[in-house]
Amino acid sequence: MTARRLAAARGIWRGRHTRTIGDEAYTVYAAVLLGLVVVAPGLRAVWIVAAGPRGVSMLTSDGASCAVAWCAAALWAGGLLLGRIRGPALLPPFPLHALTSSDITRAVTLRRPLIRSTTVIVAALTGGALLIGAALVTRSGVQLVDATAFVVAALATGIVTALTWLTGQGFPAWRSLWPWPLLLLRA
Amino acid sequence: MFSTNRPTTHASATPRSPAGSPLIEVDAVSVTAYKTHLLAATTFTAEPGQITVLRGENGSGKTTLLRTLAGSVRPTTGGVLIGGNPVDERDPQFRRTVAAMIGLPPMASDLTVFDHVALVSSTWEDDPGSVNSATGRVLDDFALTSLRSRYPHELSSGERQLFGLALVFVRPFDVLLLDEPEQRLDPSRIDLLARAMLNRRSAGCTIVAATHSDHLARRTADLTVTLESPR
Repeated sequence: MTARRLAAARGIWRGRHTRTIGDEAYTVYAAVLLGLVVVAPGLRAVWIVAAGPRGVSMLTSDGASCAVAWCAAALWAGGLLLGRIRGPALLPPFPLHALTSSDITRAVTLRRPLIRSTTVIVAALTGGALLIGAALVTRSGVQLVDATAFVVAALATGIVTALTWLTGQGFPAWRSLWPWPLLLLRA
Repeated sequence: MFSTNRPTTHASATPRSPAGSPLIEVDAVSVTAYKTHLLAATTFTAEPGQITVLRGENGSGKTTLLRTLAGSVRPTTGGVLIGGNPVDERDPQFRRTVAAMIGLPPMASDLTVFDHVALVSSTWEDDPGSVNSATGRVLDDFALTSLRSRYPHELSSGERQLFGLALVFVRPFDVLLLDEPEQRLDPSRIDLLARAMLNRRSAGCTIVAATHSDHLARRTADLTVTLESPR
């Protein structure tokens, strides 16, 4: 019954947000440009750095694991802080108001946007780790098993980052100070 | 330190519920935020099927009291029970019981008046037929039927106020909280509002409304709580 009500509300919302062919064409155009101008050069830069001699020696050095741990801690702290401004579980104002004022459980109402945000962050981290892992396997002789473990760790880090992001959204403002103890704990 | 706000019961007050338990119990509730007193200690109870009107000058804490009842503000002292339970707006059962219009709700620029009201109704009704009939009924109640195809930016400020009221009256509730619902309404539209409130009271709903309108208060109040500015 809850699912039916949710689907009906989404149906009314989508019914007034039908996209024309022009809208769709513009989305494709923007995505292609973003890919060509931002994403592809970024990925290429990561590959050049990771696969270069200096990058390989840095990534296989003793301090690399410590640096990665710092990055993870910074991501989690950043997730908590970002959650105060813009959380992962978000809908446009009117459907958010209508749905969260109803007796439909908020976990159900906000599941889709939460999954969408989590997917984006997990995909970004896993993709980056894949690129770096591939560079290490092909250029420095790192074992495939180790590179796979690195990618899995990145995936898990992405999930934890999404959770800290959600936690930041749900907590009162003063608790956004929590990232700093977290960073100190890491140190 | 605080004055204590207490209610005045009108001769038209409805009797207590058969069970004898009030639906809303506000016990010595006060609110202070960052050393600023927003609401002096206030005590009153409201029975099922009763309209309580909050009066008081600007800054006396009417909106704060309504927000406390709605669960968006925590009382600094005292407590609130609704249906015998503490206020918890994260509880779906609480949201089923309590509806509130404290300020205008957000509106979508590309949804019509009918779409808005139907969307809210669809979050409560399983059957599409019930959604359409509830939507049509509430648009009639607030004289919005002729405006059903308009977008929010095509409404006057008074029409937008009626539209906001329709969005809250279309859903089921046992307790309705209204903050100055008469804002921007002409006398005939205030009569529409009063009629809608009285109809819901007849159906057993409890309403707490803050108002500066003597006319609305005279027409609807079973109980008046006059708030004094916190010092």
